[in-house]
Amino acid sequence: MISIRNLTFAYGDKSVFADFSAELGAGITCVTGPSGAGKTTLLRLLAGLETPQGGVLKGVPAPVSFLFQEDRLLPWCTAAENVAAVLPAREKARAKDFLAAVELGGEADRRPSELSGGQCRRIALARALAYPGALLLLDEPFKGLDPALTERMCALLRADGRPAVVVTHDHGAAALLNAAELAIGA
Amino acid sequence: MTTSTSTSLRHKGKQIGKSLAAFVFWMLVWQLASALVGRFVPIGAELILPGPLPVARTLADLAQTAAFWRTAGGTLLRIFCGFAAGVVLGTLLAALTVRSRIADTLLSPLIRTVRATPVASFIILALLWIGKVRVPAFISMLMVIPVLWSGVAAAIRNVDPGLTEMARTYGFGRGRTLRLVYVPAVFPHWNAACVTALGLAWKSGVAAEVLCAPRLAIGTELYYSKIYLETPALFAWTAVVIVLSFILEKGFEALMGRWVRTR
Repeated sequence: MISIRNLTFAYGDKSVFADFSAELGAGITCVTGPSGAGKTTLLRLLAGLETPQGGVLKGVPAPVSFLFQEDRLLPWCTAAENVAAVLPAREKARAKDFLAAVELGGEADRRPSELSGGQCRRIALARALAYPGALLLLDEPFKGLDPALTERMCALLRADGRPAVVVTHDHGAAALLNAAELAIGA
Repeated sequence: MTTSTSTSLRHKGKQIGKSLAAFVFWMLVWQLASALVGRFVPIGAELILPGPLPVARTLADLAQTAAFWRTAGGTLLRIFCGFAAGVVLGTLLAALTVRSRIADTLLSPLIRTVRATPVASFIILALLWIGKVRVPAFISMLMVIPVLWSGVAAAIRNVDPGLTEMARTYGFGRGRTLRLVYVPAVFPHWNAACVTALGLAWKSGVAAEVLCAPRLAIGTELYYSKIYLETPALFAWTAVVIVLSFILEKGFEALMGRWVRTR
């Protein structure tokens, strides 16, 4: 259980959180809210990439598997190499299994520039799932995916079983994930 | 043979044809210019502008002697050693400059000064400091360092911060971050800096040989051809420098190309 108490955070003069509190359960939590509400910032705070100016974050498991808002794939590496990069040396061969799980088993030897936006998104998702983080932080994991694929990726996340915080604009996906919902901003 | 290979072969053939035509054109211009000089200066025209044929003859005569190959090899070795040392030092100093503010504060003005100082000043100074044998390699190294330093430092600073943050989040550690993020991102800029620096290494290294006149050096031969007014030999040795520089550059490009492919 992650506990957020009286969180305060601002980028310079722009306040993002002021005295914000919430509890996140052990399952999947979907963070929803309008653009600029601070969804990505919340994930970055949970990952320790930003330091709050006030308040406490308790019970955040470490390390975290972070699917960033951008794919952040290594452009000079193939899909398999991108996934293998986060795996321990003796488990590199498992990269192809994770790619197969996101239905990209046939694209293992292609580089990001040779793939579509949706395919790159799934490689980034495969990489996040491959990394043995104790908490999944996923920022818009279904961006660029069609509804049928989104449904199958939701099933994959449910099957993974790790606690997850998922930022999404897709309310349908939240239902498919059987997730608790945390609405921020208004 | 597939259509694409035959198209690319045809394209390559066309390229070679064009280069050959340009070569022939400039040889004719050279011959014409030399003939014109000959008309106005009936005696000793060859001292001012020898034509391509006497130069080729001199080169052919030189190439038959063992001393020619030893001289060319000596210069090649000297410049290659200076270039390699400059590449290693320039790259290391660039990494140090980006990593440490103190190093940046201390090194930036020094390297900028080296870049702005006339190469002749360094050659004469180095001649006093380290003796004529080592000067050409030292000068080549000195000219290579600033090129590598500025190119590599800028490339390191421009590495996508999103990727370095990703590497940190996924616990890459120093070695993996270097291997998977920094080296591939910096490599194209490093490669371009090396090609530019190679040309500089040649020019400055041969200039240093001219002023220092060490044994078995093309620069020394250039110096003697000036003293004895052997203009065809001057042209012939210059042609040797151009050919060697071209071979070294192509060799370097091929080596780097192979490294990229085997990665």
